[in-house]
Amino acid sequence: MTHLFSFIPGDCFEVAMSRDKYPERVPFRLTRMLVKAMEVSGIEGSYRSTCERTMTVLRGSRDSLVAMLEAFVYDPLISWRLVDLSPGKSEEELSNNITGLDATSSGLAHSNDGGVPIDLNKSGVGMINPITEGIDEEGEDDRNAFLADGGIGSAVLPQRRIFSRKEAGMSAARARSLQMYTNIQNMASALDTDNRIASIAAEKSDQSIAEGSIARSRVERSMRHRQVLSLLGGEDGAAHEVALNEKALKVIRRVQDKLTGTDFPDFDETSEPVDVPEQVQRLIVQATSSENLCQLFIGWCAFW
Amino acid sequence: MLKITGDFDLCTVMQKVEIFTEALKRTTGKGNDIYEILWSKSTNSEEWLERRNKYTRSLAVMSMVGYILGLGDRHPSNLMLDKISGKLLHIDFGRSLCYVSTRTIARMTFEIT
Repeated sequence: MTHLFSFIPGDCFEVAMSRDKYPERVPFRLTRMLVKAMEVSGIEGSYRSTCERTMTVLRGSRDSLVAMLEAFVYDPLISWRLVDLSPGKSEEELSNNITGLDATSSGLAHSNDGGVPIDLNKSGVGMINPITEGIDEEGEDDRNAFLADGGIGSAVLPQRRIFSRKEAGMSAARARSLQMYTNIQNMASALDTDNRIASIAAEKSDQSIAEGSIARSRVERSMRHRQVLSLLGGEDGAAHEVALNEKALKVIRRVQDKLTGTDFPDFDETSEPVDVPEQVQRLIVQATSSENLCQLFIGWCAFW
Repeated sequence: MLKITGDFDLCTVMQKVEIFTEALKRTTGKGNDIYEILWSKSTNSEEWLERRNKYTRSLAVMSMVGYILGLGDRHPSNLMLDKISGKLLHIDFGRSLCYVSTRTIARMTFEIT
């Protein structure tokens, strides 16, 4: 028998756990009513063994799961865009994001390690250079220079003007420090992802390593593609894309953590990832503790 | 729960735990609803056993999948119970977006197919 899912991620990927009012504290629903229906054995019977088996299967097919979930993560309709970009976002943050985008794009162009169809050296940097020049000298000159460069169509130019006016407001020193800061941040995040993927790959067979590297190159490629696209999309689009990418990476990492058993708060770099029975035990404890259940929204019917 | 206390939101965690356990005692059904449904809809004990097993396993699988996906908002209306086979299925991953923002009170019934 097959199940058909109509899957629209509204409260998925822990959107409900990170909201301000009534954050969800339980990993899944396991209330009195559901436990009682399992009769004499309760949790400690086929429920627990099925949980462990399911978790083993899920952990085994980690790579294909993460690859599939990427599609939802890059969905432009997903709600955390609204959650993340609060209306009170200041202009400074916005320009910060834009400089960050510059830094990441040029950084990616340098670290282009082959196998990526998008030619960043031609399209990406060619677009960025006139933008950064626009900080210093504003006017028709760089527009002509840009056109002479044989870059992209003139449709991008009005947005570039807005860019340069906004950036001109900031002092040069501040811009530089911001750029350095975002550069360092990006380097750190890149290192972090690499390490994680390396550690995951190390504990698996050769075949899985090959799969992992494929998945990794896919993530990188789609990110680069996104960034090039977002450059074309104007400043609003760019800021959104950067915020979205950060959030999306965070979500993917979280799912990967769950699938390796390293997602619990007391986990640090030195300790071993928890095994499947231990993970299931911790989850059941979390889901059934009265302390967690009583703090939920009343409409959730924790007492039922 | 709301009858026991005046403003539940203002209580501390300890008070909430006490109210919660008190509410568990006072609830009329004692949480036997699914248990009774599974029992009364079965024609013989063999069928009942089979359905109970299916129910338990599907609940376990859905719990784990929901945990990995980070599913939220699993209130009773979002659980679907198959009347014939006893399988439990989580539904509604999308309407919950407006549910979260507007906080309208959802129907507190079971959706049984």
